[in-house]
Amino acid sequence: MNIRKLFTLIFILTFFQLNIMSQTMNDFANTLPGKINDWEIIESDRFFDNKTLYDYIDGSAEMFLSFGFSKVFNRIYSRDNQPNIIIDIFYMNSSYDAFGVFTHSVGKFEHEFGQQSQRSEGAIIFWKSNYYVSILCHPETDESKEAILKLAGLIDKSINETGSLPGVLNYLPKENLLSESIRYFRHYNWLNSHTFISNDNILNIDQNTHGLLARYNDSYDSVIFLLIMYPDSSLAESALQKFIRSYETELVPYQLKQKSNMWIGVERNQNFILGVFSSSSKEFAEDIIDRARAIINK
Amino acid sequence: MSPKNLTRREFIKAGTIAAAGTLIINYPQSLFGKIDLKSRVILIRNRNVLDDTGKVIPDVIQEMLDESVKAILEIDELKKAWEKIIKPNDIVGIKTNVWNYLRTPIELEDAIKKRVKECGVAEENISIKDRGVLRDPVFQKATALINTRPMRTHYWSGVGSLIKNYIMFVEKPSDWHDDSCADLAAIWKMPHVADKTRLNVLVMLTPQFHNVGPHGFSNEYVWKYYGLIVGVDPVACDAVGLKIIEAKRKEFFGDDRPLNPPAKHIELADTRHHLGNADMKKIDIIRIGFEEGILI
Repeated sequence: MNIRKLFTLIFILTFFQLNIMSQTMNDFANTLPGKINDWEIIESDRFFDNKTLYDYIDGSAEMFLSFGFSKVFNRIYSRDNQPNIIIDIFYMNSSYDAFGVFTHSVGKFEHEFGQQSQRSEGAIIFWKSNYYVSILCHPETDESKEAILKLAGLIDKSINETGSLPGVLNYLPKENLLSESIRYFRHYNWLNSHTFISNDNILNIDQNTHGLLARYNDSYDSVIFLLIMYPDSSLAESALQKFIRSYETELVPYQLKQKSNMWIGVERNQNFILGVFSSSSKEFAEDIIDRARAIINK
Repeated sequence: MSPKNLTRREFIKAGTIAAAGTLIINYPQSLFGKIDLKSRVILIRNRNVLDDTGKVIPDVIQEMLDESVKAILEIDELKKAWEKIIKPNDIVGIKTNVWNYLRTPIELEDAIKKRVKECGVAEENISIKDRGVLRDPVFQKATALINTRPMRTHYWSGVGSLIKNYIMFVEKPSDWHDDSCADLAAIWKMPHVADKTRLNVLVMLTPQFHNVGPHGFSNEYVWKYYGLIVGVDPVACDAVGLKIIEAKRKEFFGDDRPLNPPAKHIELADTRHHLGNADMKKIDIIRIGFEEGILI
């Protein structure tokens, strides 16, 4: 394919993607009810993009931007003597991004709405397809709780498709995995989700890498497992070398080392970096690494 | 902006000790974290500060503030203590935080303002503001700042801190988000801010220890701590608040769950920007009030 044809194709695909996204976000404006349990819309729906998100949410914009976000639909329902209900529907660039933001912005994984959800006091958060959905009312009342449940159901139903999960998840050993502890990321800022690893990008994490952090427990032991998938093995090797040079503790790849009574280790396998941190048992850490290796090399 | 990073030695040698605040003459050195001494931080707690509905009781918060100010200055007489902080001819900006879900209590803002007025400052020379400080005529002319905000977890900077509260003193706050807001302390050295902060009050009445959803708030992740952390060194106050948040996370989640991203701007405020002390070994915590659930 020559360059001109390639650019034309990219333009057409981008145009269609933007068009579909715009259409879908507007669909929420049309499909959501104007009134629900006596809550009514009192101001126009709003839309924010990656330039205006800072004006809307204080403190969280960077999280969405670090994954890949296009637009957010915002609607507020009001009712006398009741808290406002705030709906935010984020259109993420991919279902991976919707899943990623979800893993970092909740405390537990449930399956009441969408593909995964969390219900907490005055809040329902879920993700489905490319959408990350948040419905809030603060403080929660009996009436508002009922209304946000209804709204969550309506939004869930209105999204017909489901989204695929990041492929790197397939390489996590399943046994002993605490599934609620899974954190997916493509920005180094999220590297310290379970234990402190580094303030800096010492693993060359970028939008083309797919990182996971997860906890494993058995009756006696625990370990934090890091798995990063790189586009190719040479990039993985460069990242490994950078990590070895930069990590605060001297490490030799493929060898576990004890630090403050905890075992740590890192290695490359094909285009993956595997790491174990804060492990209370050398054997348990080795077991997790062994099982991950086996999946990668299958 | 890249601040000029003076080492502590250079700082003193260069004769810029006055940069620690115009009241350095009045303050004992240990109140500041800028020199090689410990910073003094007051952690005061009073269960009566919140009623059953969570509303702040004005008299109690006033008392907590007053006790803290007396303790930080080691002066028994309240008026004399405040007069060490604010002079009648000062123009005073009270930098607050109005985040919708967890703002600085208005009762605390009022308590601060009341004492500032009692120091002889004219009403028109006092302003309480969060957003828009750059365009506020009082803040534009301010000779003294008092900084107050609640501590809460934050998706990008780890925690919303006293140090971070000054992000509104720059035109484009998002420019300071690089590397998890690592260099927020540099804002404190900008000419329109430097050397003006007389007091920091970190609100720990109902701190937030975990984020949920795009707005980052759920009632499930705040708890009644009934406290204020008060000091002259913002870094030391933040470091103490951070320890409490981290301890609460451990208690709540049942495992060691660090803040993500880490609140590195607090440590770097010490090690890179020399704004104050983040090292707990260099902080003297004076505890006032009940100890149960203190977490530090």
